[in-house]
Parts: sequence; structure tokens; C-alpha cells
Amino acid sequence: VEHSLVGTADRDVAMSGKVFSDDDLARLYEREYANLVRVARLLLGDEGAADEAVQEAFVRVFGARRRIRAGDEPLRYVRTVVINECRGRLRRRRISRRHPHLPDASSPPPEERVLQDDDCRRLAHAVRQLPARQRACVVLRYWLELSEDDIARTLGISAGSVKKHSHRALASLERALEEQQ
Amino acid sequence: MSNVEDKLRSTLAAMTGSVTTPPDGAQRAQEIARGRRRTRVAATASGVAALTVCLIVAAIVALRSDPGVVVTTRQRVESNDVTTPQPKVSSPTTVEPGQGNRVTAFTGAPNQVFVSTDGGRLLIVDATNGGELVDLTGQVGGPGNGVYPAAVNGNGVFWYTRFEGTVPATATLTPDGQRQTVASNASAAALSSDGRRLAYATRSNGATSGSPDTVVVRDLSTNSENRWTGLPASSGNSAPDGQGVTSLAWGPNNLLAVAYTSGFEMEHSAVLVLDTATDQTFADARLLPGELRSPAWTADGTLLAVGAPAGTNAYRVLRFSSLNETPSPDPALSALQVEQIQVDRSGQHVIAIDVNMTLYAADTTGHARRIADHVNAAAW
Repeated sequence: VEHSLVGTADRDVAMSGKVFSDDDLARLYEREYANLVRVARLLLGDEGAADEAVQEAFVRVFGARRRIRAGDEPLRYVRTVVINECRGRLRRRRISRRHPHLPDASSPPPEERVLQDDDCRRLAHAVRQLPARQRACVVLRYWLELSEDDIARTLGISAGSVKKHSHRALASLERALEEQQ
Repeated sequence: MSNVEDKLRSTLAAMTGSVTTPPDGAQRAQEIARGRRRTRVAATASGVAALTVCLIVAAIVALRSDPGVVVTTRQRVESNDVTTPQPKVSSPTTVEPGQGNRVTAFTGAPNQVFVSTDGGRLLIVDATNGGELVDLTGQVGGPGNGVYPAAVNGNGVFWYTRFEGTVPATATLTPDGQRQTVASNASAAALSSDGRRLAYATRSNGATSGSPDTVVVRDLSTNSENRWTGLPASSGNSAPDGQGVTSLAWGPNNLLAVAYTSGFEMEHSAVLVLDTATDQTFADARLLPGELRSPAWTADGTLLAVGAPAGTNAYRVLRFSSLNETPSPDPALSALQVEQIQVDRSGQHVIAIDVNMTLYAADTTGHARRIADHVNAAAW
């Protein structure tokens, strides 16, 4: 499974006390682009926007590479930038919805692909309906398999908040499954 | 719960689909980043060049003047002896990165609006016709799109917030080009109309990341400060998390309107009115009902804010003639898709930035005229 690489990548990429080079970041791009796009798809529900968000995040990271230190764990840094980029896009989408004259910036959710199972289809729908922060906690926990502390650092919130949002999200998802049965 | 968790893992995996890494993606990202860096460097360099030219001009003017009279750069600026470009009579101004700098001086005249653009420029434009008066790009130590103009006082001192990475600082730029940091880790700066008090937002305990959750009011004559922390939950958000102050606006009788947002997408917004003379905590302040943001006060004590009237979800500029009454749509601005409002230091003129980053000025006849495009933030 591709996303199992994520757990070791921080250690792999962490360099020995030097500023990261463009080559280091290019290698990180090659290795993590697909995973980060998947995270962005889960957060944004929009394939085109997810590609753009990750590409823009890497532009920012290349622009700021002198500020990234070995101890920063570049993958976590990039992940945070991707999530912030997604937040910005969600926010702009919300702004466009606030003004009814503007076209809605969001595109419809991607086609259901492998979701043959009814439960999975209902669960996918329920995940899309979660409040954005709860959705982020769920994606980071159950897709990237990050620890609560890692999620907290990535989202810039406390571990307690992560626990609270994750618990609420799971409760909602469980209810969504039960209601249909 | 474990059944849900297992299903969730397989569902998330199925939802993501296949992804192909673009073969030249890293290279393209790198090139774009380099291009942006070059733009920033050019903006800073042209600012330095403009400052040098200005000093040379001031020196020549001083040498030509009566040898018995000492003429300072500041006096020259105030008496308009330094070459000041004539305003372009073009409306609206379309601001693009990379246009030339001209002079560094500005006078803080009533019709001058400070704008930072999404292209990284910092300009003074004429509020009457949108003409570009002065290009200050590079004079505040970084690109203009990281600059949030706060105010200009009667002496032409420009107050602004600038972000260095994630850490903001509030600083001033004087007419002779001197800049000074007034408060570090300080955003959303607002100068009182008498110029005696500065309000700004900061993060509690000096944190350099996260949302600014504390409001500070500094008496600029004594440097004494009062602080308020612990923003209340906004009406739409029962579980406050990551609440942060987004803008501040001084009103009459020591009132300070505090706008803040919360939520992952900053989806909840609220405005509370703090009496800085008597309120000890935010709990003493008055939380206005509804989703509101970007407050501004006019000279007659009317509070303007962007928000949706109760029972609707159509956002518009609202006027609170009294804090006890239901707000009414602003006649000049309510038809626009406004996101930010500012009132000039006289409290007479209102400027607004819409969702397309177009800057408008509202006049007393209930009309709004378009001043400039690509505007990130503005102060008058």
C-alpha cells in the first residue's frame, strides 16, 4: 500500500543538519506527490483542485526551502503546507457560495469508483458531509495513519482537539451507517 | 467503533483513486518558485533604488537653497519641493508587478489611499480618480502582498502590518523613508482617530504560530498596555477552536470593534464591541448577533460590518445606526460583494474591497466608484 511509505519518509528525507537542496525537495516530490494529492482529494473532494493544491504547495516549499531545517522533517512541513492550501481553497469556495452571483468554485465530487459496497458508498457520502476539520482529522488518522500528536502538529491544534474532532467524526460516521440499516 | 474504523480505511482508499506524478512537476514547481523569488528581489531592489534617488534629489535641492537656511528632507517633503509625480488620470488603476518606482515621499493628504496588491506592490492611489500617486514597493522591507496597510496619521506616517513568514509585526514608515517596528507578533493594527492609541492582535504567550487570540491596546504616549484574552464562542460555533482576531476598528468613546473567526475554514465570524475604558474581559464586551466581519466606524458613530441579516445567507454591507437596533443594508455598498471595509481617519469616507479584489470608494450620495483592481488590502 503506497501510503505505508509515509511513516518512514520523514526519517528518510531528514538530512544531516543542512539546509535542503532543490534536489532533496525534488526527490520528496517524486516520492510523495501521489500521496499528497490523495490527501488533498479527500479534503477537497475535487480531483483538479487537489492536483493544483499540491503543485502550489510544492511551489511554496521550493520558495521557502532555505527556511526548512533538518529537524523540521520536510514531509511534515510539506503536508502542513498542502493542508493549509486546501484550507485556503475551501475558504475561497465558501466565499464564492456566500455571494450568490458568483459561480461555485467547487466541482461535483469524483465518480464513485470502487465503492461497490453499500456501506462504503454511504460512508464516503458521510465523510464528505463532515465539517472540514473533522474530515481532516479522519483523513490524517485513517488514511495517513498519523498519530494524534502528528495530526495536532500538522493542523496546528492541540492533541485534545484532535481527539475531540476524531471522536465526533467517528460518531457521525457510525450514525450514518446505522441510519441506513 | 472498530467496524467503522476498518470500513473507513478501505473507503478512504477507494475514494482517492489513482494518481500519476507529473514527470516534470518538481522542475515546474522549482521554476515558478524561482520566478516569484526574482519578482520579490526586484521589488526590493527597486525600492532601494528609489530611496537612493530620493536622497540624491533632496541633497541637490538642499545645496541649491539659500546657504543660510538648513532644509531637511522632511521639510522638503511637507512643502512639496521634492519632485512629486502628477497623478495619472486613469480610472481604475490596474496594478501589476514590476512597474517603476518613482518617489518615496508621501504626504498623507485626505484623498490618498494606501493599497497593497496581490502582485506584491505597495502604492498610494488617488481616491478621486484611481491614479497612482506614489510607489512605495520595497520600502517596507519585503513584497507588498505581505503588507496590510493600517492607517496614515496627519503627519503622513504610514502604519502597517507586515508578515515575515507566519510572524506579523506592526510598523511605521515616515515620509522621509524611515521605518520602525512598533510591536512584534502584532497583526490587525488599528490606530485611534486621535493617533494616541494603537490596538493590535497578538498570540497569547508569545507563540509564533496559531491564531492571534489576544487584543492589546497601547497608549502611544506612555507605552502602557492593556490586554484582553479568551474570545467568546461565536454564535455559529459552539465549540471554539483556533479562534483568531482578524480585524479591529476604533469607534467613538473608547469603543473597539473586534472581528474574529473560528473553524477550520474560518467559517464562523463574529464581531464584539469592547469598551476599552471599562471592560475588564471579553466577557464584559458586547457580542453582536449574527455572522459579521470587517467592522468599521464612521464619524457619526455608525458601525459598518459585512454580514448576513438574520434569517438570510446573503452577505452584504450592513449599517448599525445603534448597536441596539437591527442593521440596515448600506445604500452605496450593499449591492457589491464586499469582503473588507475601511473608514478614513476623518470617519467620513468609506472604502471597500470586494471578493474580486476590486477597491471601491463610497460617497455620501449612496454611490460607490471603482478605484483599483488586484487590491489585497487598503487603508485611507
